[in-house]
Amino acid sequence: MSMNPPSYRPDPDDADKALDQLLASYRVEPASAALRAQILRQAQPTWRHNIKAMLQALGGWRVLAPAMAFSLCLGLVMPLALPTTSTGVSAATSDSVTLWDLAQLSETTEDTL
Amino acid sequence: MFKRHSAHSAAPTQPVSDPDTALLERLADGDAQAFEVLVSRHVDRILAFVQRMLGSREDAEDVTQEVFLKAWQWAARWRSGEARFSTWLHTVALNACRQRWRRATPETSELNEELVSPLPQPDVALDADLQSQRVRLALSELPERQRAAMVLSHYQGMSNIESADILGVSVEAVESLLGRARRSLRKRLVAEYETLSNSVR
Repeated sequence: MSMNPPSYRPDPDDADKALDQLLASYRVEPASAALRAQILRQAQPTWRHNIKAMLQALGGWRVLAPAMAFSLCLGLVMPLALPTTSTGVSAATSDSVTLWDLAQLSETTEDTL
Repeated sequence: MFKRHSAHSAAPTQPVSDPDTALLERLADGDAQAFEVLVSRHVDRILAFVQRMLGSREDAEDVTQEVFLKAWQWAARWRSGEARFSTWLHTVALNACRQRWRRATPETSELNEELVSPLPQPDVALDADLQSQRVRLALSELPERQRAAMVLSHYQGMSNIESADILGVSVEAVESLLGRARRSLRKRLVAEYETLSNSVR
């Protein structure tokens, strides 16, 4: 039974204070050592970390970006700059000679000699 | 911040000062020691947030692990000055909680009937543990966004601006959510508490 007099009017803030007190009773235990250890075990290097480490090892983007741009330019300019000769064609043709042909050739050469 | 869409982020904002910035830079390079420091700084808060959101310690531990794994995997994409790391962690945690809710059945099913009863035995009525369980139940019955606003504001000590950022709503919406959440909780918990107090007397 309430002990308040009949003229009592609750302060509107009272309910808020009571609510805050009640809410404060809901406590949560801190993380266990096992959970912390489990989280830390997850920290294995990912492919992003590996790529980043590789880039760093190669000098970082400041070195790699100009180097890559230079190689790209070189790849585009060199075929245009060099004169086309028949060397390439003959090399390609000679590639089609099989080992068997070569063997026969050496045999015939020996016979000739 | 990695990827962020918030209702009130249209206006240009000042760079946010974050005590974790230096550690995050090291973390981006895969520094495990920096990760350890960050975990020790934030794990208790994130675990508490998730546990109050989900109402289950076991799920909270799983989600906390997921959150820190994401932090580790995404650290290289972190852009400092856009948000605090703790705000980002809370956002990730909230999203993970939402995924759990989508997958799982409501948590209330596992709650004891005794807790739902309006008039338990007076001798145990004011027991702190039981009271804590009542608060847990009352929180779990709030709509998801009201619960999140309440937990962020009351337990995590987040400002309304930070809460708005995490929830992806305006500050006014957060104020409204908090008002409704407090009204619901007051209606339920304080009324119960007064009934119990009177019955003890």
